[in-house]
Amino acid sequence: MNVFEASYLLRYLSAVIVIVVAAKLLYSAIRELAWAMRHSLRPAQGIFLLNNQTEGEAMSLPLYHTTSLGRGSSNDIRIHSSDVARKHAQIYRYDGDWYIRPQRFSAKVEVNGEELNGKRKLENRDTISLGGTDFVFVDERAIAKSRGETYEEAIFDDRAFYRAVRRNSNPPYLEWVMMNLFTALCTFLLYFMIPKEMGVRKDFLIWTLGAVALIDLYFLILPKILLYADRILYLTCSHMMVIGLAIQARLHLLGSYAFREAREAGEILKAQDIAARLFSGYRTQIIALLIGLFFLWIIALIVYKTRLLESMTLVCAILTPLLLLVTLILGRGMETHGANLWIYIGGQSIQLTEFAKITFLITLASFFKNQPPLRIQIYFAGWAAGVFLLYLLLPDLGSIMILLPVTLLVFVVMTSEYLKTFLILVAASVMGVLAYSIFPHVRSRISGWTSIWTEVNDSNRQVVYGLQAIGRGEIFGRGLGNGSPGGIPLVESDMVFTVLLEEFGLIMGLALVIFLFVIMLRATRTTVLARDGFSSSLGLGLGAALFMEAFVVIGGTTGLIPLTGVTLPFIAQGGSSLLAKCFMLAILLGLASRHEEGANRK
Amino acid sequence: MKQLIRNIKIALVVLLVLTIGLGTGLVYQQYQSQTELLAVAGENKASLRTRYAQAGSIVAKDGVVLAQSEDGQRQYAEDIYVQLGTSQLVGDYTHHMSNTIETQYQGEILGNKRGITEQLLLDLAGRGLQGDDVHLTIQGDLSSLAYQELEPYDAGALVLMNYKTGEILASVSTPATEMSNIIRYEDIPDTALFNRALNSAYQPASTFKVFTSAAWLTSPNFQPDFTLECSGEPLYPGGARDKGHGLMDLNEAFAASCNVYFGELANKMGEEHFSEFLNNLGLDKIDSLDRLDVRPARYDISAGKNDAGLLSWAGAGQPVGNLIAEETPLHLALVASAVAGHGDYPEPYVVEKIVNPLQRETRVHKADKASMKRMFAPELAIRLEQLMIHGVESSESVQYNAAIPGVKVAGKSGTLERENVESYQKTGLWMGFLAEPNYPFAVAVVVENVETSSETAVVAGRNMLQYAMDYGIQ
Ligand SMILES: [Zn+2]
Repeated sequence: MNVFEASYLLRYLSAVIVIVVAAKLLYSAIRELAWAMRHSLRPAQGIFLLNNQTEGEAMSLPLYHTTSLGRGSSNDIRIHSSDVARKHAQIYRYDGDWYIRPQRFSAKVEVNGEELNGKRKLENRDTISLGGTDFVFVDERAIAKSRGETYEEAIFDDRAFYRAVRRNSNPPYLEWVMMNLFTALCTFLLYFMIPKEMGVRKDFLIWTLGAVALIDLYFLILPKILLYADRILYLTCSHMMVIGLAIQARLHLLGSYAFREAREAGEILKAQDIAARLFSGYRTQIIALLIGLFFLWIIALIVYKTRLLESMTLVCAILTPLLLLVTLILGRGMETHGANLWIYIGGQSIQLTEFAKITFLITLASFFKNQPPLRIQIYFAGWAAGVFLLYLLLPDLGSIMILLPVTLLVFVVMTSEYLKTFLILVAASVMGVLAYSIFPHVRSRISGWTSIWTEVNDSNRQVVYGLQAIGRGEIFGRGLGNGSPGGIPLVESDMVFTVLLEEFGLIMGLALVIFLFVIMLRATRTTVLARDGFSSSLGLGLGAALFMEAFVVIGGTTGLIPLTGVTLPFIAQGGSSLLAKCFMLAILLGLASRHEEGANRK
Repeated sequence: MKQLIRNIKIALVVLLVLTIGLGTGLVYQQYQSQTELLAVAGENKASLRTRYAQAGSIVAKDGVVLAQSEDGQRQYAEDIYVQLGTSQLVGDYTHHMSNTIETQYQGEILGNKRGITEQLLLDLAGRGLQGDDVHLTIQGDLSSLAYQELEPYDAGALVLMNYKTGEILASVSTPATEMSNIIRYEDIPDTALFNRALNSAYQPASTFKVFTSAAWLTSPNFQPDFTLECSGEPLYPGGARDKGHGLMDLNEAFAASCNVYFGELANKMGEEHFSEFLNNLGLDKIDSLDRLDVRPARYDISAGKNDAGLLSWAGAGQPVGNLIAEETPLHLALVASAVAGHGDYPEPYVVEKIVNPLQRETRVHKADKASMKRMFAPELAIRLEQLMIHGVESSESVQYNAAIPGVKVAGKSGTLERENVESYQKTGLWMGFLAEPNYPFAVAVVVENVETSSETAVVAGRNMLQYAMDYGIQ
């Protein structure tokens, strides 16, 4: 039995590993989210409203990171009065401070007798009046401070809560061991599959094991860096990273006919040159991963410890269109690609649009951190329309297909504006039809997509070849290294999902879909547990963006939706993409670790 | 806050639906691509080389390896004549030819079309990656000899088969070229990738007189002692003519291939009966050889309904004007088989069995009595056989060349003349068989662009019958 036959046999083992890991992670994620949801209506510690009842008794009302006041039944604090609007006002926490804001122009809110026409910061003992009802804002921390005491009890409660959170989360050690088994398996097979004559076996081993060691190290020390680290999220992403390493090594280092022919022709120098070039392609990917991992803990710590992200809102709002503009002016295309998304700096190509997604999401989160009034919503709509127009001009349809649904999701979850969301969806459909008729690039994508079962042409060849590879993979795949990815355009980046399915089978495809859903669930958990609106909406946005990105790739490469130049997170080739995904993971990890203390810290 | 939690729940439901939709879509698209996308037209040629790296072999009946994968490379028959003699049938892994064993049986050869239990057994034995071997009825030695018979001429085709079992022993088409040229897709002579034996529509010329005779023998107007004085001049305006044969009866007219006599037979029996007879032959239904496509035969002489001259040409087998008669060498061999088999012919086949890497035969061709098809009534076939044997024995006919000492050879030759081509060129045809129970071989030969008459085809056919007697595996 040679190594390829061994790989063929071991496909059963790798299938079991990925599906068990995916199933276990999914189970934990669902269980923990359910727990978090049950306990999420957790009032802020030491901050509440006092309502002076008619009998002279005061009743304390809890405050959440976003607390709505009004007549409607969905409000956290209901006020039965005809002078009170259905949605009247909102008290929310942002950047460690507390604010109140009327929800509509006509809603009358007074603080200490002064009528509000915008948001106002709340201080201890402020009196809030609306519709004839008075509330007193109480901040026990301020009281303690004024008395020169320290406020301990609340912190204790908070810690107790998070201990409960921790009790209810299973550290995914088994999954971690299995992930390492998967990596060991793939690395072992690849080591012997790489032609000995290429002379890169040792380098392959060093670089790969180095990257995996760093991934493992992080997993182990994560709870030391971040107080309540989300290891399930980290492990889900890192499993995708090791799958990416295996498949990238396979695509770069195996089956090079150019190398084989050069060797057979006796052109040793040429063969060495080819081998070196192939290996450097793989090494670039690893270097990007190492850089990403290096920044991972720094960014996670900054997000966790500081409010830097909140203060960067304006920067991000400017940076997003700026990055797109730079790409529009300086961007260069890749062969077979209609879009020009690459910028070349000193021989390195950078895809700024990948980072623009992050700044977009930060801006989005800060706009919708607390149900913004219509005026703010319109501001945002104008800004977003401009950004989307730039995306359309690039044209980067993939980013639109990711960011538009994510924007709508964050919008509807944070504001409950179901009707508006529906109208925007209708408008987006109309825009889509318009884009179809205006941009030839869009038209060719669509026509390539609709014709995959009937004919093969230049605009659908990629997908057809990809689907053929997926078909060959069947349920368990043909084993790492046994597929035939030759001839599929952009197989390392845009089409990497098809090779994964050819070599690891349908099982791997389904496992990846589960991984994505787990990422989404973990982000949702952050949204639910977060102690302020910004963390909530940013967590939701990041998770949804990762989810949508993979959704668009998987749907595109399998012909379910039109193909766009989006790459599979953590797996596809592309340093910028990998780096950006590591940043996103870092922010998510940081947000997950924010807690009461963090929420109050400035 | 309550609202937020509610919204998140709704959003999660939507995302869950999306996720399940994606998973389901994935399963569905994989299934679709396995069933709908294996079309060769849209094939990823660059992936074929690796896909065939561990493919199974294609083996001839005499054990000659026609295709195999070694060290990750696909190799074809070592003997160049075997390679040339089987190239269009076996095909290339690059699928530049689509109607071949390599292409049509790629599922088996690549090992993609297995049941789960079989796959598991193979996996446990460590052989799961290997493809199945396809064993053909083709003989390497006979293919090589057949190629050499045709090699001197511009183009041609030859089908040699066992008329009792339906095994195709050789199916050769020329011009042919080496596999390495086909794989590189360079230096390929015109039409060298075209399988004439299965896909070329030849006009039957005088071989058609077997049908005219058979139709006449079954006609209500049949006269057993009908004779005719052939002067060579047509009996009807624009009708069939020849060089003049003198007094002819059916036996002599068949041996001499007298156009005037057979033209008159067509008119005597009438277009209606003749057409009905041709339609009942069933040759238009034969459109495949296992999974390989075969161009079905086509006969339509209705243009001769109200035109005695045209109808007489139909009887002579020369498709003049709007008369249509076309068939492949495979059909011609089947006609010979049906006559040899006393009216019945077996379904032809070329894939004997498919053997998996554990030597288990997963698909074996089953030949049985039920698969025999009837072309002629038994007594009619015996009469046709007599005519064809007499045709070979008759010393005046070109078919005299077909005689093999000690065995009974039956046959019918034909020459197709095309005067509108730049040079005056002929296509020679011959179908023949051995009327010997121990040597159940039938052959059909077509040789294009020859200067002499059908003699070349007759000689090639005779030689093949001789070789079949010497090398044919029973
Ligand atoms: Zn005559």
